[in-house]
Amino acid sequence: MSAIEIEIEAPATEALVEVNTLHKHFPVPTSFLSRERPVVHALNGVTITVERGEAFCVVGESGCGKTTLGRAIIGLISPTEGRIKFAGERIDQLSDEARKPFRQRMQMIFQNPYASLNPRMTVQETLEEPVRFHRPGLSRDDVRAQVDQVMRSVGNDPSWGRRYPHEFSGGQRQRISIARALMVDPEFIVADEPISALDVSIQAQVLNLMMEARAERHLTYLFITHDLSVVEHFATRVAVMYLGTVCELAPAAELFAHPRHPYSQLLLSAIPKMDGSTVTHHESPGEVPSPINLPSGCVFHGRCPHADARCKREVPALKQFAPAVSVACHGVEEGRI
Amino acid sequence: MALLEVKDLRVEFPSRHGVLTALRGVSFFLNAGERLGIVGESGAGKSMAAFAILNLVSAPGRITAGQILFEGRDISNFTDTQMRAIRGNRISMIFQDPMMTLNPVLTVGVQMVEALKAHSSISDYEAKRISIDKLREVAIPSPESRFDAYPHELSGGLRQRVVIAIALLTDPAVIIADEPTTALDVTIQAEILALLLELCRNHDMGLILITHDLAVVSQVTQRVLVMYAGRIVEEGVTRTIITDPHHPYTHGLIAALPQQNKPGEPLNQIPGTMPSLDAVPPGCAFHPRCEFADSRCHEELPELRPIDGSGVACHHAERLRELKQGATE
Repeated sequence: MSAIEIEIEAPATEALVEVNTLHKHFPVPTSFLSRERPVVHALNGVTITVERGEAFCVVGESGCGKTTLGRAIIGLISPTEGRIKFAGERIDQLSDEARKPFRQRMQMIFQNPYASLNPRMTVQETLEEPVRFHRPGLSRDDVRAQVDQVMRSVGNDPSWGRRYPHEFSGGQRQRISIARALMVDPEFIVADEPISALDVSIQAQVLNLMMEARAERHLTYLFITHDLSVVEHFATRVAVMYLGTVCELAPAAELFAHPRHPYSQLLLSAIPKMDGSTVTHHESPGEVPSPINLPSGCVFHGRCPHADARCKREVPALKQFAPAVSVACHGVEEGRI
Repeated sequence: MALLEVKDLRVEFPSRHGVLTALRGVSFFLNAGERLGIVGESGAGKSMAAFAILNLVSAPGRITAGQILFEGRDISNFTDTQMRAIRGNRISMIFQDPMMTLNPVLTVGVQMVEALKAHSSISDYEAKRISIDKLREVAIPSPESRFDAYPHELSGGLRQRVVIAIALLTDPAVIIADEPTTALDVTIQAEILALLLELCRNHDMGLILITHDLAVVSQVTQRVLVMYAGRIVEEGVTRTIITDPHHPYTHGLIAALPQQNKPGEPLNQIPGTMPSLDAVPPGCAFHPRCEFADSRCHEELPELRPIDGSGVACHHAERLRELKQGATE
């Protein structure tokens, strides 16, 4: 397989979110006497483009930087280096005031519906707050009508408004979180493991709701998850992340049919299957390295069965191999994997 | 005779709102060397069933009826002292979060030696030798140096391996593993499951695996119990239950998994949620969510009955079977 580097994306679609060589380093707390100032390299040059209307999934194991990426895009943390554009405008350096119009256009849904709803606010108050903040001109009745409409659209009874979050089950709470995100009519939603804390029968309900909302409201999702079976079902495109770098970027169907990067292959082979086969041992040499002392070269070389001297030395760049498929791997590039 | 047999077990919790029944008559057995899965959603009673075996129901909850026969003796009314010979010795446990099981201020070695000496009078030297053997057996690299490590110095996967090594110390007849891989990443999960499977086979050890993940159960266990609202609604050979479920709840649960649906299309979903313990509906607890429910389901509690080799607690299991046969023809 030969590497073809293509610099310009096909122009048929509109890029909604563009992330360019994003870095985020977190300082590690140390003693004030310590001379060392170690940092956690949470993101190391991540470049992705999410097109309008996509359900873009970011997958990876804990510590791979997927949540940091989502939070950086939404503006909850500011990146150390790199650019983030939303609908063509740069948003990574904005002041709080300048960011306000963008906050209305992008919303976030969190993993734990027990922690993300204010326990002292009724559902009505929770849902009204973002609208009152972003559209102070709206009349009381209009806000109420909007709450009613959104509550119905997520399958909640509008009469729940006077109740408090503790009165609801996890699935119902997550539906309230989704309703809160939908209240300001966003274009883009970052959903960070929105169904991981829910029971299996409830996961299907919430996932269906999110897919319906996407179709009805022309939403674009950045869906962060570790659950590959959900990705296969939900995603249009997938970015596989490992230790703060994107190792493979591909359409969902393509990734599941032909995972190219050795890490994608390891990840897919580890999904428990329902076909009654017994689990097999996926021995990958070594442990996940620490993001404080990143390995030299390819971040995956310590666990990769195909690693050679070049992998230990040189950081592989994300290169396009097939239409819409990019892989960051020397082995794939050289054609030996 | 089964190694472990639970008969008609009831666990109740008195509360301000009356008595809450966590287990409403649960019966099952485990043969020596057998791997049994218990699946269900949160609140179904799957962990409770396992805790009850070891007399670990926390107060004010208590076992109000039923028998637990282990190696022929009823252990349900054992005193704490009697129970100590069984718990952590003949029957070991592995919990979800290894950091909650391990003591953060003691080294791995101290905890292992302590566990061993609690059950037999052996020398420190001998205890250390056995401990390092077990660490080696669970494939921990350089076990001699890990013996002196603190839990925080190990990764999540290694910690769970240490927990498994501790569970193995006394060569138990049964290991009860409560969501042993839920807190772990998927590649580590695959390694831990493979390890558990290998250990059970090598030692002819019984395993009760409690999980919400049907795929995990299908890969590790031979038989499975499906629980809903404190009762077993279906039990049988794992492969049969996964490929050909007969209870509408099991059927719905499997049909709702993303891997059972076409990408991009709406998932099959079970409407509603599992009832909380203070509001379990009369009759079949699943009837408010069930498409087959009729007046009989509202009134009469279905008992497990044999259908195609599985045990199914449903008045209308035959209708589901006809429906499925109709769909395939």
